[in-house]
Amino acid sequence: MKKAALKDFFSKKSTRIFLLAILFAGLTVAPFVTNTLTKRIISTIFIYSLLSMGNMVIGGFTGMLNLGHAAFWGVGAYITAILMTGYNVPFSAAFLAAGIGTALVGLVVSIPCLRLSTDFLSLITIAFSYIFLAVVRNWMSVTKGPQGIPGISCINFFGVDFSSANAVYFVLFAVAVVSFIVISNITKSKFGLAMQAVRDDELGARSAGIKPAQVKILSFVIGTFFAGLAGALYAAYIGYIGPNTFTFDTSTTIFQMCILGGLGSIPGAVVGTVFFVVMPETIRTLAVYRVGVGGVIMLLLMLFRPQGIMGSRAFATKDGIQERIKNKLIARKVANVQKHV
Amino acid sequence: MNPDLIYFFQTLLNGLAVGSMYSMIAVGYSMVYCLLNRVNFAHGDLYVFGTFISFSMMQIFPIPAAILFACLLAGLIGMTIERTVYRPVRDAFRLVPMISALGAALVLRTIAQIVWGTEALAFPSLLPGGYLEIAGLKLFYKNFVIIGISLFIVIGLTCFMRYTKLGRATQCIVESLSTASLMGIPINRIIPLIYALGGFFGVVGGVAYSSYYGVVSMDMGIWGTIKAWAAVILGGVGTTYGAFIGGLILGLAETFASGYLSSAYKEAVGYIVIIAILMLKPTGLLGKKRIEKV
Amino acid sequence: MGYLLEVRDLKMYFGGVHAVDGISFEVGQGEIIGIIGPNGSGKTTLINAVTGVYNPTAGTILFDGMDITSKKMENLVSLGICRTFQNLKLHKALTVLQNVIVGEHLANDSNFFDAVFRTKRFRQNEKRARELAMTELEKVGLAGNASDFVSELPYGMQKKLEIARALVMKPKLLILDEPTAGMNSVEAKEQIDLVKKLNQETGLSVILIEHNMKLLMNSVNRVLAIDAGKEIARGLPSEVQNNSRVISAYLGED
Repeated sequence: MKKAALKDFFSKKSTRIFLLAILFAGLTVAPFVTNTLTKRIISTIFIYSLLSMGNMVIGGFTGMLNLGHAAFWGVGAYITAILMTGYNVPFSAAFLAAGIGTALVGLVVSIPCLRLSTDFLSLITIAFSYIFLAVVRNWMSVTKGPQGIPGISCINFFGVDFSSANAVYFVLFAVAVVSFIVISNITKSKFGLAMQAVRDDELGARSAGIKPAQVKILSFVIGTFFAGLAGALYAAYIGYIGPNTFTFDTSTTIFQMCILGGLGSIPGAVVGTVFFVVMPETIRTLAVYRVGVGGVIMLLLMLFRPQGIMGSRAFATKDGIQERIKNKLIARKVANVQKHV
Repeated sequence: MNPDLIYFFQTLLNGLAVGSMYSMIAVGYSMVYCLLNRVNFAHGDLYVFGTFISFSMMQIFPIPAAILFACLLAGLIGMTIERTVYRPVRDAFRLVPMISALGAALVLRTIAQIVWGTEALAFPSLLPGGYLEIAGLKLFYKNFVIIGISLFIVIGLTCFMRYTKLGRATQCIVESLSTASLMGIPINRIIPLIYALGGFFGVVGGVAYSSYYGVVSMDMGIWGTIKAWAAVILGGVGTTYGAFIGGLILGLAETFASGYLSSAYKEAVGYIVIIAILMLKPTGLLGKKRIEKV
Repeated sequence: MGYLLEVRDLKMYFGGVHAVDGISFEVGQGEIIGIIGPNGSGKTTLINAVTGVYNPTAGTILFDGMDITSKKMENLVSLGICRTFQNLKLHKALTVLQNVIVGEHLANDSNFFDAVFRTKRFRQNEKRARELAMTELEKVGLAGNASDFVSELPYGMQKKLEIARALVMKPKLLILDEPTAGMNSVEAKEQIDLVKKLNQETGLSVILIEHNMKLLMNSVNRVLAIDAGKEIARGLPSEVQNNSRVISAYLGED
């Protein structure tokens, strides 16, 4: 009964707004009261949440296993770095160019889905991530190869420099909040519904006049656009980029963020991001276990709560362990009752 | 003989050997993949884990016994993974079993890193050294041994699938899990067995690969999963020899790319070949078009 | 002229299997046509070929005088052909209401800009979609389950939900593939009565595929009986019911 009351409390709109307000206030005050490390971790969460929200659109809403998201992130970062260091383009323009350029790459990568099934498209995203790395590591004249590109000047919108640590923090915060609102609005619209319809049953979606390939491409374009923005922010925030950030392993981590947070939930993506950014920081001394902890979480999650922390309960299987344990308990109770009768 | 021609044939031979190794990993993967049509991310880490075990066992036991033990153990782990990670979520949303397998892969990887460390280890070369030189062409014995083993495996598995009762039952499950189950095929006994076979032959491929290049490292895991998956999709889902041919093409494409272009782009070229072939034939080279039952 | 749907000599071959082998039929405005036949006779394949799930091997399909032979299913919706499936094709992770709103997709003219900025048009469209969906759910008797997930509904209700999703698209022709499969006789009767009621109230044309011949007898205008991909009888329900070829097809005699 207590659980139900708790659930009611959290599902109330006023409660949610209240909690959001607290979170918002906390994040606003945070840079003034915390140390550099915490500030850096929160800033990283902002950047990564753009990635995980974008990947949530592709994976959690349209149901495509995108294992090349880090490469899209890299495309955005490299566009920004090359434009800013090589051509002296101001950050605001490079920021936009990164978003649009990456979305175009996403469009090209997702076009094969006109002919291929969803699982084959995952292979193409993997292929893309390897092709991207091969190009970045070897196209010395443009990407400077394995050493990467240093000396990227900091975030600067329309001539206003955000060079102090607090200023950067608030820029990242603002971009993350705006992106959250935009992505939430898209996913709550008919476009988001069409994505979910395609994810759950392509044929059923087609019978409603939805063209699955279009929906898939659209979700790729949206997801990779935000990956591109994240790339631009990352490049200007760190000031240096190299190919080793944008590997397949990073893509896997981004996907894990979405899974932990819950398929089909944009707030979930943020929650997953917080976990996967904070977890490695807390067990820094035991770096070997980091991957394993991620693995164990994936396993336990899929077995006991496949919908993730905030995903819809419709993803929970009837045949899942949780259900079976419950059924066994019920059976035992019934047997007990029968014994007494 | 013309040196260009010699170079070509040399590359071809190397490519066939590399392709054969991909095929060995892929045929085991193919059966598991076809069975439920879910990407099994644990396959790669499982076969590398098995290769590591054979590596450690070789220090104590005679080499054939060590390899056999590692293969059997990998089979057992494969079965365990099926039982604990796959079966509970078999009917869940498409992505769920893939992710649980990914979780299992990460756990295996971590265990391996704790036991054997994160660095690559030197693997003993079990294949015969030396070569036969014919008209300037160096025919390395190890290439032929590798090609031979992989041919043996693929022919063996194809026969197994075609002519044994168990193989036919497996094909029924591939066709439709629920129908097979309704027809009285003991799916919960056969599926773990196929996982075991996948792990078993994966380790054979892994040992062959590691002794060919003289190195074993955990990075080969996810890499192997992707190569095997790519080979299966390229060859066409549903046939053992499709995976074999897919693996060969992938190996050839990569070897020719590094021989004629640059080794830096070999993986990229391999993937571009796959994408090109899939765009022309979305079901893979030997894949049958499945009629969607509505 | 005057027929809503005309199917001429339709053939659907899968390699050597002649699943549909030269079937012709037509549906008039406001008619309910029943297509019956034993299991595996090609009823569903016929409908899949008509609705563009498969690309027919040969033959022509005219809808409202327009050739739709090789059009895909997603392009038929805007013309007014909607269908349900024998094996449910619902969106399991969405609620009942959302499933119906999916059917409203084409009618919703909000663009991307509207969605991002929540314009007035967006809010109006969302409100209208919800209201329309609720109306259709009321028609099929699922209004009380609007916020349930599909997987929580019993099978019979899921069948009704598919009809609601099709109805919200305002079809001219509704194609129902075994809408009573898996139902007991009372539920099946209700389901057929619902279809009949929809037809009478709105003049909707319906193609009803049914395995159980008896169910159709009082509710359809005409019946087409097929077996092994070929037509074996057509006409009024009472005529077809007593046709010797139909009887032998059902009883498995030769």
